[in-house]
Amino acid sequence: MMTEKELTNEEVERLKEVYASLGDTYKRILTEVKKVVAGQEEVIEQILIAIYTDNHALLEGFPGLGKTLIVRTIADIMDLKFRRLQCTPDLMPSDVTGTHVIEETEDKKKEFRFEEGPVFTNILLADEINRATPKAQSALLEAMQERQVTTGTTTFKLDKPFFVLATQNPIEMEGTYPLPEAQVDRFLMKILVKYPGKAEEISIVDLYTGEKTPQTNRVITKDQVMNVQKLTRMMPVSNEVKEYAVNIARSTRPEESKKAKSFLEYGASPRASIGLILAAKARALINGRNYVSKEDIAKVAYPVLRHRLILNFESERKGVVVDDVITEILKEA
Amino acid sequence: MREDFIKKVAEAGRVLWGIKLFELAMNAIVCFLFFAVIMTIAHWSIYLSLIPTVLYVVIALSKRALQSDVVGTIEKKTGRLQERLKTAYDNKNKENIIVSSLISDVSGEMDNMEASSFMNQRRVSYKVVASIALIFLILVLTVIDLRWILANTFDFDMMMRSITNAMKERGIQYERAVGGEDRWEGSNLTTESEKEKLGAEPGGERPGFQMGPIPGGGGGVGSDDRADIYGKASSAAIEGENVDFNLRPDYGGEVEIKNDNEDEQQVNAINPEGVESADTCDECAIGPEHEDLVKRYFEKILGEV
Repeated sequence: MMTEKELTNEEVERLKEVYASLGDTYKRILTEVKKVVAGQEEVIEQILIAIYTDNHALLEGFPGLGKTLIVRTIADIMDLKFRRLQCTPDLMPSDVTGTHVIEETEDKKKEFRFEEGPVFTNILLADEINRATPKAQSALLEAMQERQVTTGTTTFKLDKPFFVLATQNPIEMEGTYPLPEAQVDRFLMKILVKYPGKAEEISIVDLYTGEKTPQTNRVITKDQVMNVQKLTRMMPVSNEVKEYAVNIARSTRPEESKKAKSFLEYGASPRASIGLILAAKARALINGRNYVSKEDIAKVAYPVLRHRLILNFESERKGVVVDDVITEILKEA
Repeated sequence: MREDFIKKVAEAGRVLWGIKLFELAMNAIVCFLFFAVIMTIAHWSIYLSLIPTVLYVVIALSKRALQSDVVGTIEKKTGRLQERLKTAYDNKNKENIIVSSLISDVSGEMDNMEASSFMNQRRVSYKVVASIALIFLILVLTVIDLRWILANTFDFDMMMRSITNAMKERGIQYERAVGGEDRWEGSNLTTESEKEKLGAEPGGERPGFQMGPIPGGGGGVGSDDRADIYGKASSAAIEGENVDFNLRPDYGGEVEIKNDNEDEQQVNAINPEGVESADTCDECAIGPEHEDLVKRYFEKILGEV
């Protein structure tokens, strides 16, 4: 972890500036997003948490709930490059990472030039990732993990920050390739997008059936986003809160907990413990605090754990929902 | 700032420890007094109360030594430092903007903390009141024999008789109620067996202050035409002669010994508490007219032995 000693004075000053204005920054981001998106405050907070922790997130919801719109709006507000990748069964790995193309130079010579794929961006929205073939999925996941793309003998580093938001459609699962559990584990959070309330839906109708198209303003720069990512890592956590997070993750393993054994086939890995702490740090920072509380851990437990737990047959038969299992585990911890 | 913070936590820890010792001392006093009450009731030595008290102190000290989480205790006592103090303390060796900001905030809050916030003043007040009440209880129990009271609580008649006897021993005479009615007259509590004991119906000679013979009143202390609670004079037989035997309820009492056919003769009983030497006690002297009677009495007893 970087401490102030490893940073230059200039960097430290910039960090202080960003830290001082952080609480206000979140409110302004929320205000700008609300010009375009009605409601979904929890989704916006969780997406910001994923960005600030320099991680990736899965977004699940029915079509037409504004998933793409939210991500695009956040990218605009944060002055980040945004690209969208529509995953289909015929998607090739080179369609994700990029490929070499032959190009004729001015002196009529032909040479290979690397054409960057959509992955060379700051925020990538991979729509319906479960529709892509496992080969294409693995190309994307490798880029997510390594933050670089290798073609032939050449390695290309991806720009920073790099954030992948992959969506999954919970309906129409026929002919899809669900992400394997080992790959799903690489996403920090699984964010559920639900239907808006009645008042919110009326606002949506007003927003998109009027004469004017809502416009947003830039709130934070790319450099500031990266500084916020550094500040997130600097957030202090007490030993008690760390223990709490680890207890929660361990309580999801059937061999550690009777409750987990009665509901789950597999529990969360140590990646979940890391995810809980990181997400809680970002949440504390977003809310203008300089310490992480147990409440932060409890709040982020749902998006961090829900895609890492596998229900057993009995629970699936009874229609048990993963979030209910997480609630029971939190009561015990 | 970091060093100041660590010093403040250490100082708070010392204050906390002092308060814990004070509370322990209060608890030990209450414990000692509680067991002292039990010892007093049981008529055992009050020093035995030290045993459970010392045990309590040893156990309490060992428990507190094991649970020496100063930071956690301070957090519990002061709600506004909840979670923040622990986070600052656990990360005191890290150097970054956020940790510095947190330590600065927490140090500021600790400057405003008062030692009294660590003490539960209400609990201390209750303990002080309990101590006073227990001390008072011990003093009361030292004067009153609680075991005797408990043993005789259901025997009201016996209890009252015993109280009356205790009062008699201390020279307190029972006064007649206004109007001269005898409080005991018509008492429902007097049983047949009591009558048999006394040898008479209820009533009899009235207790009262010695006012001397009432002219024309028949003499005798408190004598009344109405029935005597001590019953009719029972007869004692000395040398085959019936002798009237009236017990006087006065202090020191008067024993009347008379022959049925003889005039009443009074012999003053000796007051054991006011006994003086025979040379100085006028009341102890037996008149010449009684000497023969007394002499015969003792000769009779010796003969029987």
